[in-house]
Amino acid sequence: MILAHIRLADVRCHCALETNLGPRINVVVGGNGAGKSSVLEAVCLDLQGNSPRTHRVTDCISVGKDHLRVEILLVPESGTERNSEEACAGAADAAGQRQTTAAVSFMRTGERRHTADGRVLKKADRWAKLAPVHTFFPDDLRLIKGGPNRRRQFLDDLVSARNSEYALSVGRYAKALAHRNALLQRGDIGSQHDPWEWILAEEGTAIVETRAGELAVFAPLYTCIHGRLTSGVSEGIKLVYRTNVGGLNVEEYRNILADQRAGDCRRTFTHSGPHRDDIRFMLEGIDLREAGSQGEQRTALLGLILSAAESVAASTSIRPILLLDDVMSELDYARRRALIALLAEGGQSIVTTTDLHHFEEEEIQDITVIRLESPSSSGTEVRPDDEMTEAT
Amino acid sequence: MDELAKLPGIGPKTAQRLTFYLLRVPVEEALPLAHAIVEVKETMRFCARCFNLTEQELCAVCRDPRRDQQVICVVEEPSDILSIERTHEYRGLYHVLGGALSPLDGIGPEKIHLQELFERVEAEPVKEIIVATNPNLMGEATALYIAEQLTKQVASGRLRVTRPAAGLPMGADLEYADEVTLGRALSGRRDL
Repeated sequence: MILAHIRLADVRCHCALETNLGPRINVVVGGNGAGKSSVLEAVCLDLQGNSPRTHRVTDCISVGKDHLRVEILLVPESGTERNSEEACAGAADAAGQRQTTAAVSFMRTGERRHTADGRVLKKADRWAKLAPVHTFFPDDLRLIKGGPNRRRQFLDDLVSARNSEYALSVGRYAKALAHRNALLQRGDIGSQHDPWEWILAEEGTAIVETRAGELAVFAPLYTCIHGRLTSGVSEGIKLVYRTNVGGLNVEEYRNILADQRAGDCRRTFTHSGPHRDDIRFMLEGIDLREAGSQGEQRTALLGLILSAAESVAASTSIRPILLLDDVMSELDYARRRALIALLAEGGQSIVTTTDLHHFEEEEIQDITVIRLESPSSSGTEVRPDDEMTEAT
Repeated sequence: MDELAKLPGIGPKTAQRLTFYLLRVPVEEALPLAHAIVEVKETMRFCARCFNLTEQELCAVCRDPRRDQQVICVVEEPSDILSIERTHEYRGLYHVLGGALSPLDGIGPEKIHLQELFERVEAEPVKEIIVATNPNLMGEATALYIAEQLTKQVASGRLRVTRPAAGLPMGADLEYADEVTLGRALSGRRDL
């Protein structure tokens, strides 16, 4: 599915915003504070049920308003070869293909309501399969720079997208780990550990094996896409999986846990296991997390997000929608060209930028440009036609 | 109303409805309920041998000489016995643990009737223990713990420790089965 039309009401600085979207690259242009990122955020609120920028969704509601609303018209990918306006107007008769309006309302009281064509949805995960969204926000750089938690989460999301049993394994592992750690904190290192270590060993070996298998497929794809972004200047980035329980069978794994009980008890947590796994980004022998430059880290992350989308597209045949916030300003001329070329090959994407000059004349031909005028912070009602103009 | 709302499965609205119902019905209909509650609390206690619910020293299953004395089925709660009895497939004895291991909630082996189970294994002519704890993480850990503690008796050949098969519900379609259940059913397949 692709997004054909989006309508926001009272999302951050947007009292009312309505615009069509093209099936390929869309560029949201506007000055600082014009609400470019908020448009991407609104898409996430609707299709993912959360905001990548904040945990408190109430922060996204315009000041002085009691609720926000986002409506997105989703149309099947194949029926959108025409320009966006026609696609939107004519989508109803698009050869019997089903279009859906995905809408969400968030109240300041914390209530939320997801609907599909007006029918209330019990769960917000309805769209995750139909219209998966992958985002790049500048804050996401923590994935590269920060602690290993986010990298494990990234890996887990990647695997779960095509292996539903994996998420169950991870859940069972986490629970068993909590039980064992509770024993350790109580200073117990007796036979009570046996059943939990058994479960940890069984799920732990499965998790490590699945993660390693997934990375064996993903890492070459990543190296390839990263290579295209950097025009092959470097020798190629390598994703290295780090685990302290690699290559063990269940029995060996259990023995290690049993041997480490006393030490773990002093630490009050379990030392060995996939809950301590990490991924390293190695570029020409340098660990990017520790010694990478800003630009290298950004490019590494951008490559990661593009590769993840590619990987999902390959396994589910649904192309994720890419939302890239302010990527252009951080890239040099060659990398910008490479990124736009990569995006042009992919599915639908929405990119925000302060300046259209980041795009070449001939690239703009194939791009849907959405201009946001200066912020409407005065709170006066702005008619949608005034607020945005469209040039395709 | 507040007392009714404490019951499992009863929310404030149902509690309110029940209260008004009890106010409306004649005394002779409401009193038997009150008496039944008092009676249950005063006469019911746990079986001294298997911790099933009973009004006497030993429960009905333990008193029945026709039950197979060589098999003990271990369950978490007395209500699980009712489920197994309804199958009419099982003729042995029971042992109610009164819960499952859960270190997070501070429930260790000493808090449930595990020691009593191991004592029964020594004292009674038991040949098989069927561990029918719930197929969730805590139930499984409890089952593994029991198996681990009884390895000596199992190794000597005098005891079997078994676990009910996990599989597909009767009359169900394969396409609706979740992956884990289906996976277990496949790995636990048997010859036809």
